[in-house]
Amino acid sequence: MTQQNSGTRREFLKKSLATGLTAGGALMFGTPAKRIAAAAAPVAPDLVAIKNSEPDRMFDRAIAMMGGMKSFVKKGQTVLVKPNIGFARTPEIGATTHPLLVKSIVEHCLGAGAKKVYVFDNVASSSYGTADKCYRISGIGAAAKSAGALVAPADHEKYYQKVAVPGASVLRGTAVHELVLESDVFINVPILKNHRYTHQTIAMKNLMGVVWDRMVYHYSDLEKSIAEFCLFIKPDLNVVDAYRVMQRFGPGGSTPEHVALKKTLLLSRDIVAVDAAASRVYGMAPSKVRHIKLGHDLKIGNMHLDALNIKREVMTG
Amino acid sequence: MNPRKLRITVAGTVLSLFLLVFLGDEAISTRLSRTLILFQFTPSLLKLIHRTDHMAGTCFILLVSASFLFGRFYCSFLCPVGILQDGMIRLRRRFYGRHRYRYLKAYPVIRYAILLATVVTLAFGSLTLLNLLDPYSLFGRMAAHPFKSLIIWLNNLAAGGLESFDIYALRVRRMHHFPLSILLLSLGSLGLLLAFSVTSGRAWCNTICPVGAILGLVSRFSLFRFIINRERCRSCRSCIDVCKAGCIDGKRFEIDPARCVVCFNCLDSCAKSAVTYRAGIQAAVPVRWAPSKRGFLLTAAVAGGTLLSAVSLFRPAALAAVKTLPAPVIPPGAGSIAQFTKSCSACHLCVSVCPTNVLTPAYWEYGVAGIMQPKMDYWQGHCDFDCCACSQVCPTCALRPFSLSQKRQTRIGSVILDRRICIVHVRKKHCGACGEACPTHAIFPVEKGLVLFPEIANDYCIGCGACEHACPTAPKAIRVVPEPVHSTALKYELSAPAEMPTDDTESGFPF
Repeated sequence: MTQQNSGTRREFLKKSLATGLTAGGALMFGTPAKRIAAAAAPVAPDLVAIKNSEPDRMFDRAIAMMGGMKSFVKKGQTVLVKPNIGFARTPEIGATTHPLLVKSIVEHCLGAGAKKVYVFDNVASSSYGTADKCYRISGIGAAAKSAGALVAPADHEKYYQKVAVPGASVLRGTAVHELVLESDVFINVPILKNHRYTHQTIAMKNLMGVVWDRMVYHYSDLEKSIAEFCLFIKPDLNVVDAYRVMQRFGPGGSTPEHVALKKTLLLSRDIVAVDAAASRVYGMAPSKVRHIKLGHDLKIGNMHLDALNIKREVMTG
Repeated sequence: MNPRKLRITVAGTVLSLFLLVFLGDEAISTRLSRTLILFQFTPSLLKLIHRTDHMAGTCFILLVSASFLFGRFYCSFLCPVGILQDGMIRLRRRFYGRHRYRYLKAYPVIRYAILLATVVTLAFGSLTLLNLLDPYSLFGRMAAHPFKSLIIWLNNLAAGGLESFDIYALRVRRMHHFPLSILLLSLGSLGLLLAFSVTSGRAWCNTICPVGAILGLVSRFSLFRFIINRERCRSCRSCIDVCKAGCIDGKRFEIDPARCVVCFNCLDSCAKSAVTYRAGIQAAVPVRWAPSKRGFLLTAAVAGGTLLSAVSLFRPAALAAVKTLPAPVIPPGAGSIAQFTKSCSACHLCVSVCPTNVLTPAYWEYGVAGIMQPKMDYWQGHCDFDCCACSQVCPTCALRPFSLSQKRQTRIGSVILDRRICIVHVRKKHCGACGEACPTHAIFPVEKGLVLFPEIANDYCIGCGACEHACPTAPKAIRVVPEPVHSTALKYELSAPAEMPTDDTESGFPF
């Protein structure tokens, strides 16, 4: 069993190596899963920030500024799009990724020649039977399906495989959804929102939705586990939905009155950088969010936005 | 229409609908259960006793009145266990050929002893015997556990196969959790029914079943009954051969109305039309035992006993006598433990329909008050804030039907936080598992020295157990303590979003 798993993982590493190279990522010898996002292709910026339009239109613009979806997805590849579908809330509450954004990303992937696009999330409640509701009420299930994605389940342990996290001190191992291991390209699509116990949840924390037992994170050291999971895998692209930003009562949220309309979209290969930028959009210093700082210290990415090549655009409607 | 064919059609439909109610999902069950289970004997009786405001009591009166008219038609047309046995008999016939029934000796002592014991325990406030023997609840437990597990297993097999082709039409479902004792008991009763039905037809219904016994008493006086015309009868015994109840006495040309389940097999089999089903009082008095006067006394005793259980004078004493285990958390809509245990017949429809599996059957946790009644098991899951399916399906009104907004403020328990175990207090590291799961704002963060500690405002807590289920420690640092009598929680008033940032979409970026 263990051997099989490590076999799958090796395959995955091979795949991610290929993807990483084509995507312009560099590979660090000895820690093969780690790619340095900062050393991206020369033309593409480190971070793209767009505001003042609708989620799908902002993504059209942002991905074009990033060099187009073709620089991430090659013909015939399998793509995993991982939004935040954590709660059974309508998009107005700001607890889940905007369905229009998910739809647009899936369409771009298929447009770039992707063979298959999977969408899933292991929802926040560990009680069985809540996932369907989240997929439905968030509107993401229907939106992704309408764009041609395969909406996969994640609420059963059988979908998860044990993996080791290289270089981790707290999260030495975990069980990851098989689609993370099987897909060639991993696109992380979090929503920026308040979290009363970690201040914010953005891109790094969104990856808790690809592991089976998230309570191990809570038990051992929540923020350190969040950061260390990126030692196992970093998404090829992070798209942060900051259209409606929940300011209070996160992560579940309450009513639309507690949501600020920021109409912003952030795009980056660097998961730490995109979290730092999103944290600023929320209105907080990134250094206060412990997992962002830990991610920076672990050299997963760069939280110092001054050092990055950022392309900004305020759209006109 | 041939009455036997009519019976088979109706019974087949009823059984299919019952299977659908217990095996189908939330949407199907909530829609069907209300109408289908209205005319089940025990649920409607329990409603009559405990819910005077509910029209379901009328259904019980209708049911009994109809039995006074037509005899034990209930046992062949409406009772799921009766129909299930008929199905087993049919299967047996298919594989082993027709069983030739004989006239069976009646066992009135066993039968009425069981009935009396059930009624007496009921009067003393214990539903234990009723829960064990009531045919509707018996069927429910067989459907909800062995049958449903089989269906889920088949579904998962199919779903797994389809998923390998990227088809996600079916969902892999989790097996319902139930104690092994409950499964064994359900399987055991299924086996017992199978044994009874293939060897001696409806002997279960005429020896063990307390509902059969009551309806038998009623049927002694029924207006319509099967009568053998002595002139026409050629004593060919073909009616006796097909009588599942074994109640046709060929020597005396009599059909025992107390044991006849009104299946119309005899009517159908008689070539000479000697058997008729018609209005008429025949002096159908089994000589050996129970003249109708005594039967009437018994009926009166049974009726009195059931009414007594409504008053339940003895109940508190009976409850207090045996209470070894700590009382479990009872589901929303139950009102209070006392109310709940005396009106739940343990059919497990709520257990079957609960989407998060938080409702699981208890076994002895309620003491003698009633066995196998459901409880909240927060190890399995939590009670979804947006769901009140259990109260929508409950056929006995042990869980009173209420709206979602009522459920959201019904406190079935409150929480205690053990700071000696809680991760945040012990390690001064963030956790938030309980807080992010809490739907009512009963758990809120308090920042002390850069660490966000969970604090509890029990005024808002409804005891849904989302926190307990999520808590990563073992044993759980946050636990739900049951409320023996449910109360109303305060509704959290969201403070005005004063510090909400203004819409700054036109300006630049903060970096």
